[in-house]
Order: sequence, then C-alpha cells, then structure tokens
Amino acid sequence: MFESVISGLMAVLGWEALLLVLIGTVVGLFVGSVPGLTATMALALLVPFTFTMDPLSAMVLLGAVYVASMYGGAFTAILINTPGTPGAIATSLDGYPMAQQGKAELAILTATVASVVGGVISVIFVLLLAAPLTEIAIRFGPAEYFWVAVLGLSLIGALSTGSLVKGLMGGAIGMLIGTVGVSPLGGESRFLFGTSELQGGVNLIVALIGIFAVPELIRLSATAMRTVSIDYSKGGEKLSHVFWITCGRPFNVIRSSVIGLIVGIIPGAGNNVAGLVAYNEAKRADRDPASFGKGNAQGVVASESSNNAAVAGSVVPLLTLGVPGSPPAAVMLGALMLHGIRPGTALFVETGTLAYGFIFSLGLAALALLIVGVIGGRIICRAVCTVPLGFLVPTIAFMTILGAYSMRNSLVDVFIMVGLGIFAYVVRYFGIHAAPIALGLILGPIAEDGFGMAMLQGTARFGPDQAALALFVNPLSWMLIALTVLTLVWPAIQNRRGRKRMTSGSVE
Amino acid sequence: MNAKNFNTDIIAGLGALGLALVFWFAREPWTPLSARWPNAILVFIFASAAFLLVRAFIRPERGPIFDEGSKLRMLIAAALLILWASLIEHLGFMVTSVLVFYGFWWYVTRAAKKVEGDTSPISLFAYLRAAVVTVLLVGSFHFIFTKYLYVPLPRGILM
Repeated sequence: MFESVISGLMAVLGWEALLLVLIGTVVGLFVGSVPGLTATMALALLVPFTFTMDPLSAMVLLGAVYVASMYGGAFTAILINTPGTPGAIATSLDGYPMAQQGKAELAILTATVASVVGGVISVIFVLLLAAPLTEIAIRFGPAEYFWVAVLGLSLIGALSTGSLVKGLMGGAIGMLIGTVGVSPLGGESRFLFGTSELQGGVNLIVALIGIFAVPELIRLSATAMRTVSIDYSKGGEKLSHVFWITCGRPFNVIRSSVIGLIVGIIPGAGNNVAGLVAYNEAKRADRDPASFGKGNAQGVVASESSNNAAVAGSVVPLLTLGVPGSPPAAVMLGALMLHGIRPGTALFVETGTLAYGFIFSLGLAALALLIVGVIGGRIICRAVCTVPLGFLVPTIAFMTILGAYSMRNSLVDVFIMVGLGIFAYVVRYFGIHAAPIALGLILGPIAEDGFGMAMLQGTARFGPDQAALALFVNPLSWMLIALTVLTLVWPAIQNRRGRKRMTSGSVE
Repeated sequence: MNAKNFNTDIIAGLGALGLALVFWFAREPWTPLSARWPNAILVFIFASAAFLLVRAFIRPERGPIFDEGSKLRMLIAAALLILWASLIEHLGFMVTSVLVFYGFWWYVTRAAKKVEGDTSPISLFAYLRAAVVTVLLVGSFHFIFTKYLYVPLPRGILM
C-alpha cells in the first residue's frame, strides 16, 4: 500500500498533472460562479475531451473541475446573495452580510482559505480512513436517509431569522414544491395543475436560482443602490489576516471538514447538506451564536470548509465500492469505466497509483484554489463592487434566465424560476425567508424517499401495523435521532446558560 | 420617514392557508405511497397557518412591508423579468435578451442617477457603450452555450 501511495503522489507531481489541475481549477471556478452551470454539466462535457488522455490525467482534470466548482459557488453567494451551487447556501448566510458591511473581499478570501483547508484536511482523512469510512456509508439504509433529512430539517431553527413557526412553514413550503411531479415511490403525477410540463417536477437548481437571485435583483432595482462594497480605508485584505480568521479557531475548520467528509461519503446527501450541518454546528459551538447570520466569518469558514471536504468524501464510495456519492461523482464513475477501469476495493490493489494519485490530485486542486481563488476572487469581487449598477442588474437577470433555461432546455423552467423568485421576494416581508424554503426543497425528496422505503421494508419485516418500527431498529438511526433532538433543544439550553451567566454576573 | 408596520402574522397565515388550499384541492386519488407525504406537509402548513392566525390576534409580529426602495421600480423589475421569459419563445433568446437587457440598463441607470441626485441626462456615449456591452455580453454567452455547451437556445425570429 505504501508503495502505491508514494507512486500516486509522484504521478501527480509532474508538470503535466499540475497543468491539468490548474486548467481544471480555472474551468471549475467559472462553472461554480455562474448560477445554473453545475459541476455535473461541466464534467459531462469534459469527459469526451479526456478520451485521449491516460486514466490518471483524465481523473486529475475532472477532479480539479469538481473541487473548484464547489468553491466557485461561494462567489455569487457572497456578492449577490445567490449560491452558485446548492452547497453554498450556508455561505450566503454570513458571506452576504459581510459584503454588505464593506467586507466583500474579506469574505471571498475567507471562503478561499477555508475551501483550501477543508479540501486538504479531507484528503488526509480519505488517505488514512477510506476503508472504515466506507464501512459506515454502506450501513446507511432508507431509515437512516430519512433521519439525515430530519436532522437537516431540524436546522431550520438555526437558519430562521425571526419566528421559528414561519421558518418551519418556509421549510414545509419548500417540501411541498418538491412534491410537484412524478412521485418517487408511487409513480403517479402530483400537483400538475393541468400542465404536463410540470411532470418532471421543479428542478432544484432552477428553484434555488429563483428564490435567491430574483429577490436580490428586484431589491437592487427597487433601491437603485449598491448593496455590497469593499472598505478600502485599510488597504486590501492581507492573506495572513485571512489565515488567522480561518485557522485561528482550528476546531471550527477541522470539525466542519470532518462533517463535510462524512456527509459527502453518504451517497445522496452530498455537499448540499454538508454546508448546512457544519454551519449549524459552528453556530451551536460558538460563544456568540447570535452573531451568526449577521456577518460572522466563522459561518463562512464552516460552510466552505465542509462543502469542499464533501468533494473528497463523495469519491470514497466511488473508488472503494463503485457507488458514486453525488451526481458529479457519477459522471467520474462513467469516465473511469470509459477508460476500462472498474472501481471497487480491487482498484487500490490493482491500480493503486491511479487511486491514490487521484486522491492526491484533489488535495492539489484544493491548494491550486489558493492561487486561482485569491487572484480570481479579488478580480471578480472588485468587478462586482465597481461595475455600474445599470450593468450589474441586467447581467444578473441574464445569468439567471440563461442558467434556468439551460438546466433542462425548458422555457417552463424559466417561468418557474421567475415565479418562485417573485414569490420568495414577497413572502420575505412576511417573515418567511429563502434559506428554510431551500432546505425544504433539498431535504423533502430525501425524506420522502427514505420514509417510504423504510415503511415498505417495515411492512415486510414487522407487518403493516408495526411498519414504523423500521425507522428505529438500527443504532445508526438512534445516533441520528439523538443528534436531531440535540439540535432542537440546544438553543433552549444555550439560552438558559446565558441567563444563568447573566444572573451570576449581576450578583457578583 | 416612518414606515407603516403591518401585522405580518395575519398576512403570512392567510397566504399559507390559501396556498395549502390550492394544493389541497389539486390532489387526486393517489395511492397511499404517493399521497402520504404531500398530505402530511399540507396538514402541517394548515396547522402552522392556524397558529399564526391565532397569534395574529393575541401577540402579533409587526413589521414594514415592501419598504426597500420604490414600489414602482420593484413592480417594473418583476414585470421586466416576466416579459423577458415570455418573449424568448417568440423573438428568440438572443433578440429578447439584447432588447430587455438594454431596457433594464436604461431603467436602472436612470433610477440610480435619480437616487444619487444627478439630474443630468444619460450621455450619448453611455448609450453607445451600453449597446456595445449588451451585444457583446449576450452574444458571447449565446455563442458559448450553443456552440460549446450544446444548449439549444431558442432562435425565434433569427430562424
């Protein structure tokens, strides 16, 4: 094994592999920062270009695109409050308020460094723990998926600004929108409202573009004032300061990376969930949880380190079991098979150089983000903050319409995007915000699938009257239930502690 | 300027109730496998809407609504987006995008000047520059998406 690790490392340290990493990072950065362009789309388009490459070079290029596209989603999340990828939803929660406070560049650079650190930490963990982590992943059944979704939905409490009931209502509205189209278990069409175009359901990315980008666009037009800026009074942001913000609290970045890695390994959960879970944990562990959502850089660190760590996580089941953990990993599986390589445990034995080389290349891609991200990040950030508003607004509108259309080459998607956007803009004034709606949209289908499958299994195992027992029989389910309960009761515990501290302080 | 505060609980509660009713009556006789999940969500929305409506009369949340910027500009921005989406099928992606992009630029630039207190008209140079930028930006993305990303954007009148 040690020989394979060394040969894998040496294979990706050649100039050709390094150049591919750099090209892949630039392409991925562009893809991630355009709402509607997805890593899956970019990888699928790149696969034919890798036919003539050797398998390792192909995987190095595809891996770099995947890593950088996850990071690129942070740009629009921070600058225009529109996550370029679903994984960057949590980034916008603190990144955008930072940008509004004149710290746009600091937020971008913090996201860059956090992505680099998260990427590197996850690669180290994958190299050391790929096999045992896979063991955990394959124990996930429908009941565990259901509980993962419930755990995610319990984060609505953390994401809600204002009334919890309205936050939960937003989550339920997101889940309701997620039920439009063909039912995953019964196979019947639901809520088509007489239009066959809704048969395919509401595409997640289309919905996210709508609920995040359109309200911002309308607000910019209504106020006719720039909302994000860079404070140049102290000069440009120094990288050493950004490193201090990111790594000065090592527990946050390590915990978030590990969460990202574990969630990334679970097929289907992916980085959409990873960022949100890590954000919630960061908020819960912080001494000042109330500052989250108002421009706390640790929120950006948690979200970005975890969603980049999830990339390495999603390739673990791909390489060890041949099970892709995410849609982009599924495209990479296809690329491997096109090159005549069958993933599985034998991959590490028979083609160890390829397997370990690919894992190392993900780490190199994460490091390349530091160069590409710092240069590209500053340029994009300054462009968005200085380009005249008259150009900024129609450019965002153009990108949202182009992105929504290109998801499924459908004009119906453009109307859905605009409609959901206007809806999100209106309901925001009544206390129902975009983040809980997005969470419901992402987790609703996972919860429905898991619940339905678990009930079917339960019916076969325990009979129809006790089918629900299937949700509680596995120790992994207990662990997830405990985490959910903890997430729900923690704010109350924290409040009580705070009150006690205040009381003892006033007594002294 | 003091913005008027509204009882947002009653608006959110009634809105959610309306939405849930629309979906409730759009249900069909599905099998339990397909029906259980949406039914559960709808019941939850009904329950939380009822909670908000009760709270609206006891201890309501109050806040300003649509208080950011001009309401007219807000409506025009939403209308321009709907117009953009509606015209693509008839005029094609390229023509629609150039026209609406340019219209959007003119409207937002004018509004921004007004907000900044600048009463001078938009210069001819600015009009020309915006036209060039619009055509270049829309054209380059159209080219990349159709030629390299194989996205068949509607051609409309350019057929």
